[in-house]
Amino acid sequence: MNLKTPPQWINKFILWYCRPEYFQEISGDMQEMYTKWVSSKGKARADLSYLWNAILFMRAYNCQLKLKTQRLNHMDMLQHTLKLSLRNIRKHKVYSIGNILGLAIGISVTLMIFLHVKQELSYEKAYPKHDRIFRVASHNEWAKSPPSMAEELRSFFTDVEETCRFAKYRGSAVIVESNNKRFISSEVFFADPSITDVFDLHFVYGNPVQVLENSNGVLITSSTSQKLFGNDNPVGKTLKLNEAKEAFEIQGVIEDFPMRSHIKADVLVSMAKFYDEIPENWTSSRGWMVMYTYALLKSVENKESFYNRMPGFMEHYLHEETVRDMIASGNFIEIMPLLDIHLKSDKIQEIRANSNIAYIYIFSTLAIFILVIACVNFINIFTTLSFKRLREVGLRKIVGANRKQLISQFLVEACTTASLSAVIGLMICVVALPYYNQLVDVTIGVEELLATSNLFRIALMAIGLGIISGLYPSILVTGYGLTDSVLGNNNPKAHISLFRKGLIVFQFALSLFILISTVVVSRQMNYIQNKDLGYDTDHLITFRIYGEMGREILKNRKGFLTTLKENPQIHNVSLTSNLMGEPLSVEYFAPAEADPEADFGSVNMVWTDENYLETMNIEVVQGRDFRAKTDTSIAFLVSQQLADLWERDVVGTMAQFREESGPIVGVFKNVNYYSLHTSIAPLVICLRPAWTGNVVVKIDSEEPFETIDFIESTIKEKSPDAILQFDFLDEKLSQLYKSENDLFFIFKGFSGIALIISCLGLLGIAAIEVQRRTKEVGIRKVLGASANNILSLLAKQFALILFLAIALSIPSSYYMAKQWLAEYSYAIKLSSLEFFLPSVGLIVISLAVVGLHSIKIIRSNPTESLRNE
Amino acid sequence: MKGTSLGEFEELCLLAVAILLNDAYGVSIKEEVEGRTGKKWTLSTVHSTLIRLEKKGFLISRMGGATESRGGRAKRMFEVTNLGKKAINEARELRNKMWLDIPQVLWEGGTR
Repeated sequence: MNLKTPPQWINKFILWYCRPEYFQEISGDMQEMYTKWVSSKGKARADLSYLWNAILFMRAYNCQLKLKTQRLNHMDMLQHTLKLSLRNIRKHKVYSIGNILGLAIGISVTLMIFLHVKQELSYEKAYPKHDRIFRVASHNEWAKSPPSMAEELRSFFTDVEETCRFAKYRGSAVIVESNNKRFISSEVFFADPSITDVFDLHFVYGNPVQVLENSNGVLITSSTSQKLFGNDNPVGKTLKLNEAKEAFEIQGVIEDFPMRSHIKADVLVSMAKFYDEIPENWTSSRGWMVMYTYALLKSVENKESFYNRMPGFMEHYLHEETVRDMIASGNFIEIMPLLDIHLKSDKIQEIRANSNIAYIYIFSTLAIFILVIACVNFINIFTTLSFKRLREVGLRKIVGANRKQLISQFLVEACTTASLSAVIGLMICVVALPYYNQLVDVTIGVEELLATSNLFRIALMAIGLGIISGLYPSILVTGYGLTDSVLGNNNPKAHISLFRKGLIVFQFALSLFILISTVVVSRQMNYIQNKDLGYDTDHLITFRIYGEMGREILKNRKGFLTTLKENPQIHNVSLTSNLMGEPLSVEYFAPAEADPEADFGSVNMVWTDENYLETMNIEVVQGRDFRAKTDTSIAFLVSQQLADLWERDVVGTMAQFREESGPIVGVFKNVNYYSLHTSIAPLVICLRPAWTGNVVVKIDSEEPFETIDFIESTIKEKSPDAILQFDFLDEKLSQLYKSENDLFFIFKGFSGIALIISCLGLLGIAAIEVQRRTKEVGIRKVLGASANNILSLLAKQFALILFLAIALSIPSSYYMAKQWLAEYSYAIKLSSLEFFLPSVGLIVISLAVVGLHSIKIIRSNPTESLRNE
Repeated sequence: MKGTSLGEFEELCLLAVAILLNDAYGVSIKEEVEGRTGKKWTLSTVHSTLIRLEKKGFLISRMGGATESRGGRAKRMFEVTNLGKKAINEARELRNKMWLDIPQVLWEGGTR
């Protein structure tokens, strides 16, 4: 019988796993069988059988993987070390709990912020073409652009593949009605048909081809469809907006816009409808900024040429003069990548208020700070505990452990503790996530937290932290000579090294930094929210009017106001186009006799009825308020600032606005219509009740909800179908400062956490220091030192650490506070108090921590401390 | 009895080793057992059983008999130890005894 050779790699495989003592016989037997197999069933099947048998031979008795044999001892050692570390944790319960908890809190905070930041950075990524979409705004301070720009962009830039425009449907709240159901939406937009392509809309019902082409076409999102039609297919059904007579045809149902996108819409109306309704001279205007224009580039590589050729486009698109003016004032047409909008765009009239990249930086910095503090803490406590085990190290050395083994022992212990912390941190996160979501208004799911990639990262972080934190103490503790180690605690070298002191200084400087920042932020927030805005915010109810109800109220305005005012709870009622904090219309406004060439610029304008100043309690400083009897047509009130700007006596003069002119009847005290992020701008209040859409009601402080019921029933008498949403103005205004308030909350929480972790660290250090000096204290007491003497002796070196920390953190926090406050038009003046108080607080708390620990040994009988040898 | 008990396949292997006397090694044992039972066993099953039997003390082994057909590799040659002989003997006796105790009526009772 000829010898057939089986595949060599299988032999190598057997050689790899097989115990050497069995290799000969197994491979010999296999060879014999192989020769038989080849003759009986052919080479291919023989090979297969050979492999199969080779695999089957991998059994416990002979399968001694070589890797394993070499590691066997290490595995035992690892097991031993793990057991030891758990025992050590149990032995020093207080320190260990402090240590693990501190790190766990640090990890959970970091984790939470990491997820938050990740979420913020994931905006718009759900659109497949996100990297090729750019928003083009015709002015860098505005988010919008004129209607005609999109077409010009397409023809000017060959690399623009497609454009897509959005425009807000009239009014900020729209009644959407279909299938005998209705709801109020503030997210109704006109949109180009190209939206299906640019933003890759997914259709649940309907065909993406030829939607929004004719002027009565609308698309609705699936959640809108759910509200109106349940699970039915609504394609082809009609839909009405704002109770108007004409009906739209639902051409398709699209999936909801991604949650993490700055674009949100419930209903998309065909852009053709917009052109139907707006006069041609407006839609063709190149100065009317009304649309959000998005351009889709053919490829990402075209980005650079797109940017480079934009100045050329500006000259092509705008009037020569406009371009000159814009360049003179440093303005330009601005391209903003879609991905940047959520974090970097903070322009006038954004689709929605965006987040701010500064918060991302602040959050990340905070997270890193807290993690660093927790790590420093970990190093400190771990070192403290390690020193208590000098004898153990010495003994291990005597038995024959080399330094590498000892270091790895400490590293494993550090990693074990860190892993425990990570697990606890993860649990804290899971529990705290819903609260965090609520607090900062984000939607991080638990599944995101527990995603495999995330868990992997946490594991990596724990091991990394363990190694980083364990390295220093292990090198230090194992570095002592044999006799020193065995002598243990009394080793004079076991004092707190400069490095560790440096770490504590660093830790405290960071904590103090966060503490000072918290004080500054909270003072600023208080200042902003209590600052005199120039008008009342209390006891004001607002609601929007629209549709039939709105028309009814505006038609019979006087009667409506009188009916409401009959209720003694209602002090005053007024109509206005925009509420405080809402973006205002910007209009050209100038004296009537002014030279057309003279530049009077644009002003913010709000349209109201006669009672507005009185209702809002805005003070008239010159002239008079509107009067219902005398002011029958258009009339104006201007702000003090505008009057000053015009440098003339404006009361009684005529002013022009659009194609009309009317008298300026008075000047009112400056009010801050937007938030206090911006400074006061010139404002004109124009008497034109027909253009209003909000009702403001000044009520008595008692029984506000009864008053609301009264208003609602009054309106429902005339318009039974009306949907009303009441808001309190002060609550609405506080929304403007929501991001700051969130930030403030987080700051407060985090500074508390940082302080607690730091104090835990200090406690650890104090403990070892006090213990080291037990004998010294005993001798001093014998020689007659008083408790005070000893306390001050012990506190002295900690005081030095604290002062260093304070000296480090005050300048840096001062600088950062300045930077942050510069964003506000109304900022607090930084005083020494903001820095002094937290510092004193820190000193008191930490000395208390040290003192509490010291008192125990100060009180003890010196014989006890001196006896311990 | 633990440790000295014999599984069915163990018993088969032990008997095969006894039958083969001086030529008992992996492949020959496998073929002997297969030839007698008409069932197929993989080499690894046989081998692991032999090693187990050796650990229990029923078999001893030595290396030897490298041949051309094995690619020059040695065989593990097995021999039954006294303990092994005792074990198969006990197994047989146990069966015989149990056979004897089967009531005659079972065979006479006819078909079931």
